[in-house]
Amino acid sequence: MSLVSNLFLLFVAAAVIVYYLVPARWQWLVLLGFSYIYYIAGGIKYVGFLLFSTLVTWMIALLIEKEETAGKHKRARKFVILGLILNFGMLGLIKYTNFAVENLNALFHMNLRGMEILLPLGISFYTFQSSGYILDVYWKRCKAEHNPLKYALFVSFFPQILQGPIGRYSRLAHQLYDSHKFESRNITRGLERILWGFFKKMILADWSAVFVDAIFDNPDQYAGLAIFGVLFYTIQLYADFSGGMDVVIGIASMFGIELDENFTRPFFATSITDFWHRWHITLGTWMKDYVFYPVTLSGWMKNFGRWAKKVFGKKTGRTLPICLSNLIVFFVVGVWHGAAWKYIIYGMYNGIIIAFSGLMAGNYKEWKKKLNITGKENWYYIFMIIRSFVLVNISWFFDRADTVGQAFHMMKLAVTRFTPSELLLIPAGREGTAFTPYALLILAVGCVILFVVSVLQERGVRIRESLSRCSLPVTVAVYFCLLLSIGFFGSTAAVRGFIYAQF
Amino acid sequence: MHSFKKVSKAVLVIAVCTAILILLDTALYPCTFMRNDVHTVATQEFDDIIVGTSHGKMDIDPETMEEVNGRSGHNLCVGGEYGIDAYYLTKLICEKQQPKRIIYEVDPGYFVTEKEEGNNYLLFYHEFPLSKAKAEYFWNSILKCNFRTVLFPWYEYSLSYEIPKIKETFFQKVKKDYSIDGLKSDSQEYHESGFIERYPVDVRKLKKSEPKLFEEDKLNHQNMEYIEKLIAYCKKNDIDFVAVTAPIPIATLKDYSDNYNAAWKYFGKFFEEQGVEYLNFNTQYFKAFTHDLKAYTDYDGHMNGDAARQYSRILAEILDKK
Repeated sequence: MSLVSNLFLLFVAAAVIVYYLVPARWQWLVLLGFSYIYYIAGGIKYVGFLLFSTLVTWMIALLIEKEETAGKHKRARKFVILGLILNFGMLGLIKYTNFAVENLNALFHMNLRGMEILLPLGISFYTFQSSGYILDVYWKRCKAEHNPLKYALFVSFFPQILQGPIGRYSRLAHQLYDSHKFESRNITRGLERILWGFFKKMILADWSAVFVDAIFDNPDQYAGLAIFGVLFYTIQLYADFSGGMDVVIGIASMFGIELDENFTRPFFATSITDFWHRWHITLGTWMKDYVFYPVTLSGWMKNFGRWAKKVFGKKTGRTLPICLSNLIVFFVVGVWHGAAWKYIIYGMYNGIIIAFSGLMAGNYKEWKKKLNITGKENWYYIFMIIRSFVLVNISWFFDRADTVGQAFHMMKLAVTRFTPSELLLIPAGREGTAFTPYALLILAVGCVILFVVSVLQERGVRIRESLSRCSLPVTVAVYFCLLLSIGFFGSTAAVRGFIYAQF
Repeated sequence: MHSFKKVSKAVLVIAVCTAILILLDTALYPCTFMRNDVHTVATQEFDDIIVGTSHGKMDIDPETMEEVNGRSGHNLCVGGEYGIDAYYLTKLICEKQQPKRIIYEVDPGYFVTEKEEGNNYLLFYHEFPLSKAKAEYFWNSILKCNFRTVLFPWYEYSLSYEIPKIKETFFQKVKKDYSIDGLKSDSQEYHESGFIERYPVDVRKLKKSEPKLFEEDKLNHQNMEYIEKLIAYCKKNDIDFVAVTAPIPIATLKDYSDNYNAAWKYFGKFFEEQGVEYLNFNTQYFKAFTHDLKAYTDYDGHMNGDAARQYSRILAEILDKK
């Protein structure tokens, strides 16, 4: 059930109506019922995986809590390991078996047959959410949920299950289980957010996708457009993913539930580290809490740190374990994105830049001192933003290209060929190239609107609050125009699903 | 009192927005020939209704057929018409009248492709008058489409508006004007019978194009399901059902003989199992009509007007004998 379909919107409307009509103590059951209906609508064959993950995680969390209460830490730890193995094992088996088979075949000239396994909807998201919960219970950040149905709701809450944000039990669960009174403000704010998400998706992401697909699918035909291919991909990916998040967060807020934000204007980042604090935030914080810190604070990493200090000196020796942890984190980020080498390289590229920046931090400080740069200069701030933007765009080549080879080929074309006029040869919409200039103009104006909104938000202007203070006709007119703009300027090319809904 | 005010405001806002959307729809959704077709079959009675794809639209002239067999007919075919559309069009017709026969034009290419969401459904749905068939068609097609199909059915035309046409379209709809003057172009002409007459072309200048090729393992089961439903519906309502495949130029048949032979075999068997008549002008009635490119306007097999009339005459004669 696509987030932009009539069926989904009717489904949400029905869920909201039923949610506020039933007695308060049943509200969470309504959410659970609708969440499972939503998931089953995506394919009943996937439900088994979700149920397995839910039941296993729920039981193991209870066992962990029981053992911890009895002071049997080692046994609790064993249950943690079992829970993680079962969750990640299922994910690994389903998502990465064929990748492993392909590589074994290539490496050892074997002829192993791949498996025909269906990729359950949202598995990467709910596996991470479940695993985080197991660790949170183990680390006593939250108590284990005793009611299996309540826990099932935490894992399957329908707006977020397909593309996140990855929720934390301590912040999300009580909101799901608590009753909420009907407040028209929640509905209007939710609708505003959903509308903004649709604007991003249908105007910016879907129009960009037309150009991205044409350029990346035919790199030699549009050889002079490789640089545009990646720039359009930046627009597509951001508008698609953040637009999807706006829709998801907007729907949740209609139930009075506040989901974690996943984006805070990532293209204003001044470094790659900053970028990952602003882009797919819930994945970043998940990695920080459940991979980075455990790895950095582990015994073997401490030993490595001691060894590094002896060999490279105090300063570098202190930084090296952090660099190594970052590399591990971004290796996992890459693997999470998909079962292909291009994703692993995408992750490692980010990890290497962050690790390198960490190692060079001292040198950067010295250079800035020599060049009399305080770091507060406007030009320096803009330079840092542009530098980060370029570095991020390089990584998108790996993310979007079909293979690592194609990514390098596109990069080469990006620096050796540049013929912007070829853009007009790309057919846009159902009427072919006749609409291409209009599509480009729509994209340009859409990007300007997005940029202005982002600048205002970055400066702390709360646009929706300001709008809500205007008179009703003005507010309605603004949002109605936004809605109409989707009709007038939305992509007329084939309708595309949300990119991150495939994870 | 406070909440009454709030509710009133919300109702007012929704009413104003809905009114604007209806106005925009009236002005911006173009007057297509399907508007005329659906209006005609919903307001007049016919013996024969022809459903199917663009081949049916351009190859079958109901007026010529009527001259031969005295049966009135209307051509409801259009490019992009899949089984689901033919099924609900038939259901809509049966709510308004009782046709004696459904002639279903079979293009094998439509059975191996997926119907794209959006405009492909709106072309029909938008023109349906309020009816049970419209509600069912909405449930089974529009519901899964993106929300613009409901709020802005005109969205796929948004980049191609011509300002003078907006005024014309608006008044044509307001005045319930179904004249066909606007449905004529340099290459073709729409007739009130639903037939589109293509003007002859210089066939020496035609370029070959690859048709949608039939392969049994790529069969679109949803389309087959709707054809079965259509046949069952016709049987239940005592309506004759005849399937017809129009002739295709010999050059195209030769180029893709394997695919076409597989298609003829598959559909021959399918319609036999369904217990309905199947007239294929590329197999058992091969010699009944020319396959020379001169009769066509492209390699796909869309006939020119004169050839279409000749073919319609032959089709009517064969149908008469059955």
